[in-house]
Amino acid sequence: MRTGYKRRQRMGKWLLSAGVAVFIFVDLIPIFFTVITSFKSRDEYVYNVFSIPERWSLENYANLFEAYDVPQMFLSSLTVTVIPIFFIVYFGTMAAFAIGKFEFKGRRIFANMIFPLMSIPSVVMLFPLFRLFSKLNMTNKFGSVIVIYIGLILPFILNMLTSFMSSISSSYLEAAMIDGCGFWQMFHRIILPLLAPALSATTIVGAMWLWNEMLIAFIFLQDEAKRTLVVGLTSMQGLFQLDVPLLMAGATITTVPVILIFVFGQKWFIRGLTAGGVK
Amino acid sequence: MKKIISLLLVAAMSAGLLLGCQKKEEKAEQGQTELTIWWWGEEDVPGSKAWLEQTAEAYEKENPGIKIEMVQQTSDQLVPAWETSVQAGAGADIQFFWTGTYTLMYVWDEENRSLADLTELIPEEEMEHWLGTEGVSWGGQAWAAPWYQVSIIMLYNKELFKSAGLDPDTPPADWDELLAACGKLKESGVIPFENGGMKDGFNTPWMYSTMGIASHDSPKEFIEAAVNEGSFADESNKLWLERLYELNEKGYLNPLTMSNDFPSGRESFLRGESAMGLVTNGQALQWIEDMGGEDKVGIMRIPAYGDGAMAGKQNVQSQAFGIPEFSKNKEEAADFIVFMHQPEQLKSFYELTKNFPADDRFDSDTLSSESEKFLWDYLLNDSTVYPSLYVPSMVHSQGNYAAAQMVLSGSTAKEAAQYVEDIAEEWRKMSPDECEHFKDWAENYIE
Amino acid sequence: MIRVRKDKKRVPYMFMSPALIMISIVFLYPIISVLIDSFFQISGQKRTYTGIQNFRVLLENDLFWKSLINNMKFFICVPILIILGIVFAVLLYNRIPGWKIYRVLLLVPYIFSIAVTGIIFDCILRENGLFNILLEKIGLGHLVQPWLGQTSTAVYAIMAVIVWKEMGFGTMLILARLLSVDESMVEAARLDGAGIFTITRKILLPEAKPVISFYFVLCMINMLSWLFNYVYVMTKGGPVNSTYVMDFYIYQLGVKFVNYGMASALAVVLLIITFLLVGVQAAMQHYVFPDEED
Repeated sequence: MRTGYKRRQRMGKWLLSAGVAVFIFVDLIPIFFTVITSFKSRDEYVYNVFSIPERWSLENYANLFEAYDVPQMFLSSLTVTVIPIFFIVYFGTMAAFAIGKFEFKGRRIFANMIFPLMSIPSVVMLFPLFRLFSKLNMTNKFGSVIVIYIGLILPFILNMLTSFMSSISSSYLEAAMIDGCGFWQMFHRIILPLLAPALSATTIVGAMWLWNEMLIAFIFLQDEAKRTLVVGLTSMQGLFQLDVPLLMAGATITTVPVILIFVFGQKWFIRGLTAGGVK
Repeated sequence: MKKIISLLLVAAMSAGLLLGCQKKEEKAEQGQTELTIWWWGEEDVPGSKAWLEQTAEAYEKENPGIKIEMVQQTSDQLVPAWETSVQAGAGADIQFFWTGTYTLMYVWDEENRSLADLTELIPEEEMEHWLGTEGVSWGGQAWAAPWYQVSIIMLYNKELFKSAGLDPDTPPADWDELLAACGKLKESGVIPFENGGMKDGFNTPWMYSTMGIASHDSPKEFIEAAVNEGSFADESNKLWLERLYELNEKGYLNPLTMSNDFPSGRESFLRGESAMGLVTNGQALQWIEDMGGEDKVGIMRIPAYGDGAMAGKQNVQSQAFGIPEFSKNKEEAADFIVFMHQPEQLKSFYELTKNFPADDRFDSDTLSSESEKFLWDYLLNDSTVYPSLYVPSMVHSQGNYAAAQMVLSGSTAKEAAQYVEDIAEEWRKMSPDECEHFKDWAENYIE
Repeated sequence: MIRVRKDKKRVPYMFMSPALIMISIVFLYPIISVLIDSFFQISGQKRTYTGIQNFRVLLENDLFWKSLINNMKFFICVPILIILGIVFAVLLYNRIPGWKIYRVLLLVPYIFSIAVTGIIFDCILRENGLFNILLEKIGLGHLVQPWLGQTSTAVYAIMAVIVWKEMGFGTMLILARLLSVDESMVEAARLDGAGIFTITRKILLPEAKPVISFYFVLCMINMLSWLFNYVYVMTKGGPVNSTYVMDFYIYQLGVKFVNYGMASALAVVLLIITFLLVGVQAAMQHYVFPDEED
């Protein structure tokens, strides 16, 4: 009797698994479409929208590289992703350390401000910031985007880091204090190393957000020579709207870096994203 | 010790940050004046970028103390970037403007004028040669230097006309003839009229400028419509929507028009799928060449969609460069503007873009083909303004865009026109100052 | 918490300062700026104080109400996302074979940039695009229409894209919470003969309530504040302004209609609505889950 039940249960699980697999397959069709279409010639796409290309072609990528300075755009994206991330994680961990481990006036306020800050759309900050950076003659310069990104993503990062911070035992830190450890030392020799995996998670998730950001990069880096991949793709959409394979090639190139990091760092991704919500 | 190291680390990071700010900048050498130009135009006039770069290089050679930096703007950012620079008091030394309201709104308020007085910077003999200054004139003087003149023209495919049994040498000249021609073209299996992609609405000004003028006698009527209550819903302002509605209802337009975006929607003409299409004059010449020459594709006069005095005229918009009041290099900026208008530069502008520069020193003898001569003649002798520059920008971008889309989605012209009027009402309430200026503009408008 | 000596009271402030400075530059300054600007009519250099006129005009403005209603329409996504999240989280929780891979695969849409997603779906949802072709292939050809190009379907098409993109995140979040549920409770229930539905209802869902409520608020915030990229890339607010949402309207007011006063006023309104929402959530957490640590 029992074995029959177990077998039925296992079969049930396999059935469910198959069902979920089918669902996921359908769910990912748009992504298959994107990649497959990017290898279809424009002429073929006119009559063959749905199936595998009869003739795999790299012409879209060639056209893409010819029409746009893709390496430059890649570098731009890299610049506005990598440079801010270090500051963000460093400043963020410092702040999370303060909020998570110290009692001080205003701590409650800061802790409670994190979520509201996350809910403010960037479009609200857009025009005043543009005015500010115009005055400083910093529009169309990477510095403006870097500074803005640091501030913009900090709340999201803080949200993640404060929950990671609670995993470090206070008594352990107090013991270190008794041993004569200064706070600055504590931060660099205890907190940061202990949080290393959490910081990797935060860095990866933060990098994903920054790489994918459009509005700020769009408004502050209009110069063709400085555009990021995402912004470049958006402007491509208007000019080459009818050339779907070309657009798909652009979409693929823009997303491949993030997908690669995701594939190799899924553990970090999941850990980072979950930290924000599961306390 | 550790503290010092950490401080050094922070310092290094800050240095990195600052370096990021300076990255990829070409610093002007000591003693050089840097002129910054914020411009737009490559979408309407392909080749203008190359010309600007070439002209800037030539100027820098003659004037080694000047370095010119050009920042190309996208359609979405041109106005906000300019507006912000005005509020911030810092920006370009030479600023591109769409004319009409888009320039005048920074001029008509004497106390808050954002553009420098060109008459103090540029000799009158120079300014006399400029064409298309109506769109930038206030108080009897031009406030920006028109750069080029661009028109929305209509091409027709002679071969498709022949296949439909139409005479390839006499394209339709008025509304009835257009309807008849469309009917025959539809039967022959092609899209009769490609009005362009309307998904994002950007094609609206093209239809407004070809159909919308037909029921009016003078640009003044457009300006007045902004001020007078109820005017956008009246007969003369409703006409273009009625025409659009009828063309759509009879199936004479591209069925995919609401799925296509502006830059690529019109390309069905290039592919030979539609018999008539709208395009800018510079691009037209390129298309004619691409499609096999003047035997296959011709330029037609805009059909007279109505009975107004403006019907059938060639719409022309000059787009212009002004000098912001806050610029610290006004004289140098003015000098460069004058340089851009020298005959040699005018000639190379036409060569690179096939668009007419806005200066009467342009030598029209260099025009060789029939089409070019036709366009020049049309421009000089039978042209009028580009009406979307003569209504408040909000009424145009919020009202007209949506109205055209409404009509293409099945609403009646009356409903759509009423929508435009509603937007205009809102504008009148929201911007009483601007309304006052429009009144002044209408009263002082000289034909 | 670390206990700190009296003379070291400044330490936490020092650690907070870099983050605080950046946040002040990027959030505090603009918000104050926007607050002030909302009381002015701004055109070029001219600033005229107009009191609450911008707000009055906004409240009488058709497009504002359309935007607000559209934002509320997008709230429909929230229960859909939550239900999908719960369903898949529970499915994966039961360790059906391959669950780890499924969790990762479900997250892939989330990794894409919203702008890129919008562009891809713009191509797919065209009249001659993949979706319509698939419909025809499975015999539903009569349903073929320009999904993003007509007023009756544009908003819902965008909603579908949002659900597609966000679904994996909810699943992952809820699943993470479920995985930390005390195994012995579930085992005990199983031994008592409880089926999957009962276990879900009586154990898993209550345990997951805090995460679900957090996700609920997160989704609501997304539907209020983070729709711009979708709208900009897929419909630019059209057709006929049918997909206008508040954060997109703010952008249009500033960029297209060049009315910074109104843009600021709308921004203030949006901020008020969002903060009310977040405030309600915080209150809920306080009163509904008094045992949850802050």
